[in-house]
This record gives sequence, C-alpha cells and structure tokens, in this order.
Amino acid sequence: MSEATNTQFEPRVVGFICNWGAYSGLEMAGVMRKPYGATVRFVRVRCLGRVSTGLVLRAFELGADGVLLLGCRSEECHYGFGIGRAKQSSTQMAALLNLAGIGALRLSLVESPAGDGMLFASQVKAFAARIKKLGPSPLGSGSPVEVSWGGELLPGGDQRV
Amino acid sequence: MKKMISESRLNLCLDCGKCTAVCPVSRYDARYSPRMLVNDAVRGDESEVLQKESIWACLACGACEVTCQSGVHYSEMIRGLRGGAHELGKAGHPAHGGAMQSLMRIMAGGGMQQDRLGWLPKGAKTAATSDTLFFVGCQPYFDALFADIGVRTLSGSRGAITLLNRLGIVPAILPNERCCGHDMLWSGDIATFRKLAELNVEEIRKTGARRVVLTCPEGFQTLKHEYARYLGDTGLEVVHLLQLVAEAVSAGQLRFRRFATRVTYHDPCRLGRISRIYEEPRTILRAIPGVELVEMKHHRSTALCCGTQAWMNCGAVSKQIQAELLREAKATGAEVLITACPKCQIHLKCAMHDDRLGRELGIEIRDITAVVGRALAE
Repeated sequence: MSEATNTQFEPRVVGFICNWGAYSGLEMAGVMRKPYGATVRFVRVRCLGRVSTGLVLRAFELGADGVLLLGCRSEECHYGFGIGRAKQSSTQMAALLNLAGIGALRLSLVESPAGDGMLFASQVKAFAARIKKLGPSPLGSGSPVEVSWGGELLPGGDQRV
Repeated sequence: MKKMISESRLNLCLDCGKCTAVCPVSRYDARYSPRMLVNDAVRGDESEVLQKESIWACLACGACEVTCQSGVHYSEMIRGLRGGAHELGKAGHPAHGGAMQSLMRIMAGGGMQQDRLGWLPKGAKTAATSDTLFFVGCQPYFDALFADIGVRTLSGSRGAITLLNRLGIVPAILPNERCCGHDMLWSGDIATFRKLAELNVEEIRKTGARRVVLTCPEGFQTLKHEYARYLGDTGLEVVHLLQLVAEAVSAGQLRFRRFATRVTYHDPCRLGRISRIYEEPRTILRAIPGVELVEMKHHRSTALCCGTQAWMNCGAVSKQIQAELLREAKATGAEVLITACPKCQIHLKCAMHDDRLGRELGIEIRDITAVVGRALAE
C-alpha cells in the first residue's frame, strides 16, 4: 500500500485465469522457465465466463491497478460457451470502467492458446508493462478498504511458487 | 435498540397483522412477517434479532405503514435493524455479483474522476454555475450494466434536460456526481452513505445551486429528507421534475403533440406512497392529446412494488411480485406501462425476460420523462 516510500511504482494486477487452456499456458511457461514477472497475482477460476462485472469492480475497489482476464480461444473453450460469455461481460466491464474514470485500458481480456508458454509469458508481461505505464489506479489512494496484498517480490522479479 | 423502538413507535403495535396482510414479500414468502418482526424487535433478544435473515427481505415499499392504524414506522425499524446488523458484519445477498455495491463504495472513496456526461443530447443547455442543479442519478451506469435487457434509463434523463431547458432552466450538472447513497443507507452502511452525501453536497455547493431537481424517486427522497436528517440542513431546495412540469402544465405553459396511446402509470414506492406525489404525473399525462390513461387495480397509495430493493435479495419472491404488477398492467389493456423510476424500469424489464412468464408479462415499458420530453410540441 505504500507507493510513497518507493519511487518505483509496482503495480498490483489481478489476473483471473481459466483452469483449462489459459492455465496450461502458465504451467508451460514455468516448465520452459519463461519468466513472466511477479506483478500479476493469479486467481484461478473454472471458467472465465464466471468472472462477473461485480468481481472485476471489486478488484478495483480493493486497490487493483489493473485486471487481466486470461481465457481460451473459442475453439478450445472447455465449456464451449465460456469465453463467449466472458467477451460479452468484458464489453460491459469496459463501459463501466470508462464511466467510472478508471479506464477500460486497465482491463484486458486475452485469449491464451493452450500450452503456449512463450505466448502466455509475453501476454502477461505486456499487460503488466501497460499498467506500469498507466500508473496507479485513480482510486488507489481513496480506497477505504485496507487489504494486504501479501507476498514478497523476489529479486529479479521471477515468480517462484 | 430501545431508541430505535421508540423512534419507530413499535410500542404502538396492536399486533393486528394488517401489515402482513398487505406486504408483497409476505404474500409470496410465508417465512416473512412484518408483524412477527416487530414482535421480535420489541420482545426478543437484540443480538438474535440482528442476526435474522428476514430483516433484509423488506422492500421498504411502505405498504404496511400506509395500512397501519397505529402509526408504526416499520421502514424506520428496518433501517435501524440493518444499521445494527451491518456493524456486526451482516448484509443482504447482493445481486449482480455485488457490482452496484462496489460501485457505490468506490464512489465514496474519493479519487474518482468520472466520465459520465456523454449521454447529454446535442443542443442541451447546461452551465457550470446555476441556481438550479439537475442531479442525474446512476442512470449512465444502469444503462451500461443492463443494456442487454432493453433498459434505457438515460432516455428519461434526456427527456429531463429537454424539459428543463423548455421551462427556461439552464441547470448545472455535476461532472463527478456520486450515487445519492439511498442503497447504502438501506443496506445499513451508514458510514458510506454519509460519505456519499457529504461529497455530493460539497460538489453541489461549488455550482452555487440553491435548488436541486431530480427525476429518480429514490434520489429525490434521499436528497430531500435523508441528507438533512444525517447532515443537518443543507440549505438546498429539492424538487422532483414532475412537480415543476405539472405546475407548468397547469399554467398552460407547455404544449404537447398528439400521442394516441392507451397507457397505464405505475406509482413508484418512493415517489407515490413515500413522497405522496400522485397527482402530478397524472396531470401531465392527461395533458398530452390522445393519451388514454387507465389505472391499474392497485394504484396511488395501494400501488404494487416493483419487487426488488437496494440490489439485494433478488430471487423468486421478487419475480412473483414483478409478475403480479405486470399482470395488472396488462389487464388494463394498456399498450405502454409508464414508470417514473429507473429501478422499477430495470426490475420490471428483467422480469419480462423470464423464460416461462415472458410472453404472458410482456408489455412496452417507458419512462415518463422520456415520453413527456418526446411529446413536447415545438
């Protein structure tokens, strides 16, 4: 919670990741030792389609600077319609984030091909870089809820689980 | 608790049960009884009462209060109980994944710079400072969230600005308007409500406005009564747009084009029973040539509630209440059901999307300000 002590802004990004194709990308990145940084804290869900607008708003309410939604491509969607549902929701989420002045740029829905560790890593790093550039969420300092984001960033930024 | 009991006048309860007889929630959920809850509040253990699920089921529609001969302020009791329960960490079941509640808390947090004026139609006249402020409400957010069920609450807002300009009023509109806080108040989250109220009053004062005009009944009731109650006298005169329009209509200042339709009008709880604004919408609708206004079986002080409050505890009971209202609307033979509340519009339109009831309940629903604004003659 204290950006003030550090001139380097470390974004807090929540990454909702679907259990199937997208998560296999994360695992593959680990196996291939492709670093994707420690900026994004992953929340694994059964299906990205269950990530509602409320959940995303809650992430921002609790102090997230960015929210990344990682799902499968439609032809690979484990439940068939899940990623389609997620795409519909994300349009709604983007509209709300723009109205609220948070900005739709702080949200991204990414389709991650199953098992593609390299692409996964680059997608995650790209979003983290975008959020770092955008700076802290405009809500950041105003959030009335104290949340511990926990965990220490290891030197070098590699995520070690 | 004792203070709440005396302020709500619970000791006057005669245990007659008429409140329960007219309660829409009780009609469809036998476990919910206003009479029993009053009993529990007066006689029961305080901590036990605050744990009860039923205190979140009340719609605060006021049907019980209008019927009670003893003058028990039931809604006051519900507010008090929810405030106490909130402090114990209890809450109702939020609908829509808690999106609305999150939004309200975000708005109370400060640091927000919204981009919410995009709905203003071309040619709308507004000013940075004015003696009148148009408090829009959460309509921009509603339309973003509920566009997929055909919700168009902003058409009411556009009708409102058209009407205000036609009345010669060039209002200020807050670029960073916060939610009025009604739902936070009714969720027992008094602290967040207070923050929202303080932020809004501060912003309103910057525009120099002495008068605030609203179209949303909840916003209207909240700014008019609750802001003064919790913040002290704000020095602001709060009026509902329909009051201004009805006055102008009665004075012959507004002319309308023909709109030949049979309509029925739904009295929203916060505008009708609670604010007693029954006549103004009817005066206005009757002034539109061609409009045939038929009343539902239950209207004015007996009007049915739209079934959901404060974006919580929405379920089968809500659906049945909505179905009852829509059936009554259809029974009038009206082509259009006119509502004066954005939330009523949302809840009723949602109910019409029910797979099984949809065909039976489908009726065109339009906001009164949208209809009246559209009907204005050149």
